[in-house]
Amino acid sequence: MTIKQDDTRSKQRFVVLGTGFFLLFITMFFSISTGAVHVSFPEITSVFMGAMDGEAYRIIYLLRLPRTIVAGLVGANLALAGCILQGVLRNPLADPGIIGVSSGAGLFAMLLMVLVPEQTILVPVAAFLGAVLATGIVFLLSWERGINPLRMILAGVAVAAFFGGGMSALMIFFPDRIQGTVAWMAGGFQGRSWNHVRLLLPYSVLGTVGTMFFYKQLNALQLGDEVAVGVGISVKRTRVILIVASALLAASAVSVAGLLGFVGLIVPHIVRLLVGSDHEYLLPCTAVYGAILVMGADTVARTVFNPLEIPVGIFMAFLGAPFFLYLLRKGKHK
Amino acid sequence: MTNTFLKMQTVCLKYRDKTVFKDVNLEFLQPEIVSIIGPNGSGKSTILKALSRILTPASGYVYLQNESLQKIPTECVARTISILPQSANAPGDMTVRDLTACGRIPYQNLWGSRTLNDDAAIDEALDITGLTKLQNRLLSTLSGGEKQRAWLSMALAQKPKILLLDEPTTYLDVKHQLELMELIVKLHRECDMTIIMVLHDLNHAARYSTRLIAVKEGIVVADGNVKEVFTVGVLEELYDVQVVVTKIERDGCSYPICLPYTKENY
Repeated sequence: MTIKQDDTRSKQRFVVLGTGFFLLFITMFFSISTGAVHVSFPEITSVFMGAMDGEAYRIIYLLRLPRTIVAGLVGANLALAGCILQGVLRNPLADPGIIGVSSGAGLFAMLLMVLVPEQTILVPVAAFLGAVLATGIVFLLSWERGINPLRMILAGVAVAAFFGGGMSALMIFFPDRIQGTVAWMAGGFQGRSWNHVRLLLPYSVLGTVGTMFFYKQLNALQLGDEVAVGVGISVKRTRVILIVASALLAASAVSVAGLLGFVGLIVPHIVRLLVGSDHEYLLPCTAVYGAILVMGADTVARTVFNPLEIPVGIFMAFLGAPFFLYLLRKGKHK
Repeated sequence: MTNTFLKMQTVCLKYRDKTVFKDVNLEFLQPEIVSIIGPNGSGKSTILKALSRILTPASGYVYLQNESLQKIPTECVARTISILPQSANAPGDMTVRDLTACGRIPYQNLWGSRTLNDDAAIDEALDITGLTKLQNRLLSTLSGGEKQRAWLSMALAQKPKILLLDEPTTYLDVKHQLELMELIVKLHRECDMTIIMVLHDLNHAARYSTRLIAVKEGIVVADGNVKEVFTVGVLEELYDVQVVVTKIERDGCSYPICLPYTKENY
């Protein structure tokens, strides 16, 4: 909210957003240039200027660029989904896992690998369907003339436990067939292509643009349902729309990248510490920083122990959690 | 111009399966100050919730200027009625002005860029509540009284004709209680606002209201001006205590006051 007398805060918010876009650009550049084969800056610019041949073109166009874009979109989608859920459910612990997305995606991906192991190419589709189905179940269980946030969280925990049990059972009964899923569940971007970009992009665009329209509703929901009704928000409808939107955002991300649990929970919190809880700034900043985090983490995860690649989910948890705790302590002392 | 503005007609109110009110008929005029009094759990807040469409009646209708409240677009209602719930909570990193600005949501379209009109309404609300100097303070740094005023300022930014307040003086000390009540009277007089509030302090209710509604166990026990309702008979029945009602004279004005007591000697 831009206010004459409140220059420092709005300035800080613009700085955070501006820095975000700058960092996004830098991260993208590094992600494209680093790897098993180093691609120099002139080579990158020549490819972007339209050079259509050579090794650099193939590496960039077929390998690194789609992978980088997928990582960025996944990060943005997950972070945005978490941010929306934390606002809608008014719970700081909410993340895409809490509405059943992760467990549903996980179980269905595993089922596919166990039942039709030759069709691993369909894992994203199965995971997406599973995520949507699990969210639907959580939705039905928490419906009581509208969505009750507390019931939704409890139903989410129960459904996650149930689906988690299913996953454990599959792991025990079919240990040989689920090798592929284990890697997928740790989360990663190895071999992600333009097809995956196409899978993600519609949800990213719809989710990002759509939720930007809802920042006022999210702000009002933070004040409690009664106040939100008082200022003319249709609380029930808004809540349903936003939960469905975040479920689709998260489901698309999880189906492409596996279970990256950390992004949706932590990125909104980090950004909230920086720009405050006004969703007008929180939503775009969250999307940008989510993209930076996942893109950067993927770049590092595939390069530091080259040629070994650490699953990016593990890498992010090890680096991100301590950083988040650091920010939390710093915020407290202020 | 006094005409019926807000009306409850044979309204039945339920929480899940528990009926709180059966066949309530109430009419509110424009402008007046109405206090709803009654013991805990008598359904005072429930009436406010029905009047503000937070709670949809199980049967019967709430009419705003002869139109059913449920049929009017919710943002249109929000431009006429604003409510300050009992336990409102906001993120601590919001400023007083941010919170006040939320009161302008019903006036903004989807894109929602704030207009000069909005800024003027926000300034005015901050001015009335005496928060102009505090407008950039974070809510987490405010005292209870300032916080309550900040919420009131949000409700006023909606430019309502009807203001619903649920126990607005809870958590406030005596001085801030009186300030708030006087602010309410001022809004009534200067802006022709109808104020309907739930109050626990009977003396405040008697002194500042133009009308009292007494409810007990989901029944409207008494409804009328202060003289009719603020009586030993009504109050003793309402709260199951002994009551002394008297008047004090000060500076040429007389205020009705009551002192409740129980039969046991302490």
